[in-house]
Amino acid sequence: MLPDISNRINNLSKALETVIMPAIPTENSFAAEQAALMLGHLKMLDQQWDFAYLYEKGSFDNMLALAARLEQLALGGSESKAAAVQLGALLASLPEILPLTVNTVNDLTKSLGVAVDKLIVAAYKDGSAEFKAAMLNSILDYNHIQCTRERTWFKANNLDPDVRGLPSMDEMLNSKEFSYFSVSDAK
Amino acid sequence: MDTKIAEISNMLIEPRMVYILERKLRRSKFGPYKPKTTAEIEQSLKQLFEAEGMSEIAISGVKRMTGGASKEQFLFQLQHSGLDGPQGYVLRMDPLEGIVETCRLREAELLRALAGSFPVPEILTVDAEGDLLGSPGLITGFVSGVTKPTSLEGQSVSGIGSSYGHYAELIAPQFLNILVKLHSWQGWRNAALPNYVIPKGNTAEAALYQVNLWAQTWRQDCVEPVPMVTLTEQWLRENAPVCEEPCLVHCDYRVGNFMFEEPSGEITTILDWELAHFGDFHEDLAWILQKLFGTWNAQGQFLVCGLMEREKFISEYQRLSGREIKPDVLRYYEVLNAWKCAVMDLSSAIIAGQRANNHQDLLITWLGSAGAVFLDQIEMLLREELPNAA
Repeated sequence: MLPDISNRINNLSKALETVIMPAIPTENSFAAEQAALMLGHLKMLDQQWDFAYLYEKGSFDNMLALAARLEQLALGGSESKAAAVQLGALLASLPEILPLTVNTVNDLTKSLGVAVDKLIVAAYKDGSAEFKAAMLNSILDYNHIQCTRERTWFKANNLDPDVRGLPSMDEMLNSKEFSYFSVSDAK
Repeated sequence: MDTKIAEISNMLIEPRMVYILERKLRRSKFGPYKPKTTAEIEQSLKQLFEAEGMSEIAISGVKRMTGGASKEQFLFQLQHSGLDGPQGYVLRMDPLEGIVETCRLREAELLRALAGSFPVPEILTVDAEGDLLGSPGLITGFVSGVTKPTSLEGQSVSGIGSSYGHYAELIAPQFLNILVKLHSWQGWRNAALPNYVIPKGNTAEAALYQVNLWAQTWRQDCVEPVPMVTLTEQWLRENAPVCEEPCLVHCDYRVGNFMFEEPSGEITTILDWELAHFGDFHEDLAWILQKLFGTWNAQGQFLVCGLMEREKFISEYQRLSGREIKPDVLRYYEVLNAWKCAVMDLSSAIIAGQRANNHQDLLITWLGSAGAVFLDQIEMLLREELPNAA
């Protein structure tokens, strides 16, 4: 791929920083602010683009592991049972080989998320106390891993008040510590 | 919670806010939104003031204000036959959609009711439906002052993360005093606030009104499901605390939302009343205590809103107000506020940016990327609650 994506993003940043931003009149602070935000987005995109598929696949794997765990744990009345059956059917229908683009993998994550949501709502209507407690713990564990991934992914936005404990991008993407799939398997 | 109570509690949502969310859905289809030019603003203002009965109108110096992630704001000078000379005003307008959807009419009602008792901007007029301005808008008097010290570096776009330096000592007592006074304000009993609902005292309504509003926002703007958001909604419903006496809460009382004079450090105005409603005072405290709005000082101590240590803030609030802060209720509202922020970031901000329906698409998309910070905060709070969590 020539010119490659990094090359083009960096050229965009350079043009913005060295030509366009200095040409913005000082009284047009809105344009200056927008240009600064563009530059920030471009720099973040440059750090992210090459890992986007790996990141999205990791998010899918985590949602898949959560869905499988909740389906296994589900106990309760008719609403919980029905939601668990629906989630089970969706899990059984997933493709054996994942699609190869970020958006198509994200679509699968979303469809699993919808079914997980239904099971959560059902559990609060007629789930057994044991299921609700186990579900809560599972979602907190999943959330911890998925949030750490997401906060790492967007670390460069400077909006996170506590980035000290976050892993590097490489660790987040490759270490089993940030895979709910590995963690839930171990339990 | 039994089914009947659950059904009733689901209906607790302020009618004006139901209308505002429905209106947002309709307006979102008119996009993409193009930021207004100064010429367009000048023209719409003229139309509005003519309709208000003013004559010999001259509008000048229209200037867009930067920052602000929810409303489009402009400074301008107005001259008309009833004025001795030009006066400065601020126009605050709704884009087609933004990180939060609120009501200019409610904001105007409240600012009028608070005038004279609190440092708030004076209302000139409101175009609640945007019949003349093109978008719903509110015009207030210009107030002098700054939102952050002009001499300090490292400031952010929305004011979040600002540090006050030596001004902290001057501002902190005023910041607390105004908050305490707001929570004890009884002027609402005689004020015209037809678009507000006062939750019943000694019930859980104060919390449930908020849970329902933000749950409805999430359902309307949801881009993709987030298990933690759904779980938290259920938890908030099951654990809604009783509020003995609802009071006015600002709900965005924080760094960046007040102005002060330099070098005196005197607070001149409290800004951004759009999220204000009647609820539990713990809701304001929990909002103010969020890590996102604070900073760490040179000694590594966390400062609430960059102003004072958490324990000092809590003890001083209790001393000045005579109220008792209940740790479990405070924690409930910390969860609710973090959830509300997650809803704003992960649904409203993202969808507005996707549909290019905001004047600051780049900024709201940037802010949206902080959603996980709030999910992480909820998780930490629920783990502390774990024995009672489910």
